[in-house]
Amino acid sequence: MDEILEALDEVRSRYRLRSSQERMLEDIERAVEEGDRVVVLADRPGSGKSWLLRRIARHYDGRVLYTVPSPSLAEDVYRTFEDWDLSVEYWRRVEDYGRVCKVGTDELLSDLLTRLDPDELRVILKASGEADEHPKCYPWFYRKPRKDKRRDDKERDLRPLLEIILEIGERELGRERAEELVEKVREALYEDNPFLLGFAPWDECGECDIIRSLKEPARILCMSFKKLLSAPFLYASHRRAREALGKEPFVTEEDWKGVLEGSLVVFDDSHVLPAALVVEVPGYVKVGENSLRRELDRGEELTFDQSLMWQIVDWGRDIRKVRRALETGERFREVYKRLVYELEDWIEGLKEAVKSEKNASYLDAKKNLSLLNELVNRSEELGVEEWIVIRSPGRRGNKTLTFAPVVENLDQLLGLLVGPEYVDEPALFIAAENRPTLLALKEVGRA
Amino acid sequence: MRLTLFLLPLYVKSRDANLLGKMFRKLDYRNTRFLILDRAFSFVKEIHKGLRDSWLVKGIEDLERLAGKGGGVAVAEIMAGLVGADVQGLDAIIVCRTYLSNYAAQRSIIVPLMLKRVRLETKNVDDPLDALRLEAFESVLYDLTTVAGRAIRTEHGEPPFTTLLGAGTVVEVARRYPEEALDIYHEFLENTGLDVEVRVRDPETGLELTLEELPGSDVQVKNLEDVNGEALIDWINENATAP
Repeated sequence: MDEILEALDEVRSRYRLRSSQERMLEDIERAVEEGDRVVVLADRPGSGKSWLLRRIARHYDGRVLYTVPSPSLAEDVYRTFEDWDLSVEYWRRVEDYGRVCKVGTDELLSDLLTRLDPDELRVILKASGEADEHPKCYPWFYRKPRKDKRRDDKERDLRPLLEIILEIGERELGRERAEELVEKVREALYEDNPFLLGFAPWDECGECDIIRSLKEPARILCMSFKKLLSAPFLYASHRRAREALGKEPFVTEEDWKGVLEGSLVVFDDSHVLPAALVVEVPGYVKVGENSLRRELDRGEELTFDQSLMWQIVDWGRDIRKVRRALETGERFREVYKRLVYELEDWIEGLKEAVKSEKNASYLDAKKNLSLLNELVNRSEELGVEEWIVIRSPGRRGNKTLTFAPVVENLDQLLGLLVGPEYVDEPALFIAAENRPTLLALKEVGRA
Repeated sequence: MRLTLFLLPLYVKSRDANLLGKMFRKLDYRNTRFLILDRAFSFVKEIHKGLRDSWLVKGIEDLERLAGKGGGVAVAEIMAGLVGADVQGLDAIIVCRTYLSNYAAQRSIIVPLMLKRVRLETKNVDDPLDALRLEAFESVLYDLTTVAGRAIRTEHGEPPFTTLLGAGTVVEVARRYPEEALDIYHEFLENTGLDVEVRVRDPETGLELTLEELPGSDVQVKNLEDVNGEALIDWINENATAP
């Protein structure tokens, strides 16, 4: 805690602070001296909260996890720290790292390559030229070629492997043979691909920049709330995948503990922090004949329809069902029970489906569901026994399921976000918010 | 510096986006910087289409570019204005719909439910649906202030003209639960330490009411398509472009 107090002194002596900022510094000092591990600054917008937090992070002699609502804001903060010449990293989504991968595309396809015609092989080699350095550790890489490329995707540097092959193949082999080749490659991609076991399973991953930053991160780490939530799952997923292959993992959960130990964790704009615990899952993905949505509902309508929820704003509508659900909370508890008992089986089912159907949307669904499952496990440990599900039309009218835990106090929120096994590692959490949210949760916990 | 939040007792439905886009063509943006916000991206896109020479804001840089211009109209999802955009010099912020605005629509509704104990149970009404509507009223106060507050980054900066068009539900709940609404308002003032005034404005009659005056009044909540759009835009132009 002395390091925190030193950082506060440093900030006070170096900058000319506004009176509101002086008060915030005093609040933090008092909290630290009283042994409080969570400080919430809830001054009005424009009072200089973020400004102050960045200076504290700058002068703190230890690890800082600076977290914000979205990846683009995280990048913004990252640039600020970079301008100050600090040791800083921006932890983003795997696909946003760009060309970092050391795993060759041929490694994914080894068996297939021996069976291809020379002109097909030439297409694959050309495609490798573009795809070799793309991360192989995220479902998007394995997607089918997209028919309707949206503008956002074009702006993206990376393309799914099969799309690249199709494009080059159409030019060199004609449409029909190109499509046949894409099919062969798709099948091969799912044969013994170690990525199906988890994150960064290959030997080459030891030299990967992402793994390196998980092992020996910079002093200041900028990331979104969601990234903070999912970071330990990356470590765990990697360890499990390597162990399943009978190999030594490059990083483990212990490394993540080391990152957090004695750290200062900043939540900037924490009034939107609860939204980080919301998990969206495609509800229409089928395992056998059943979809997760139907599995959850089983005739009891445990999932709320989004349009039904919006009808709440229309006075005079008959929404007795919603009212009853909110009054009794039974539905929320039932959702939790189903999740606890059935989610793991469902994920196992999806794993099988990935192999049998060879479709990246199963990979994607599995990823999100695994995150949800980890949250459900955390919530079990923390005694959070109510969950809400809302179903809403997703892209092309496919129903998306949106899950959220019912949080009663700040300990539960932090436990869910950071993980009960890690939450005691940081030295201090400082949050800044424009609407009392963490503050309100803290007070409820006290009452 | 006093910030006034104008709430219009209108229901804005998703099919109104095109109509709004056309209405906004009449905004006088020669010397005024307008930011138009809504909670849904599809709605924002539709307005953008109707508006012809507006900008579709995708990130903070776009907002900064608007702020650096002499005048113009930009359309954005509310999260662009709510979160992280410290942009000085916007003159007017027109919010179409926020209701419980927190990112995407399904999240908007799920967040107050997941924070039931601090967001709904503290509202002191028996019906949980009314608690949810009062929560919507409270979020609107915070959201509009945050949006406006992002635009003023100096102690003496002038707050932008700020209005929520689709405030039908929150005006109605404030009228039905006047005591609870005033409690929420006063607690909001205390929490933010800001001088924020709420005015309910009838776009047809031009009648303006404070929250205290609302209960006894005969302000009617109407559908957007049933009001005189021209009068509405005239009023916005007059207030947004005032020196």
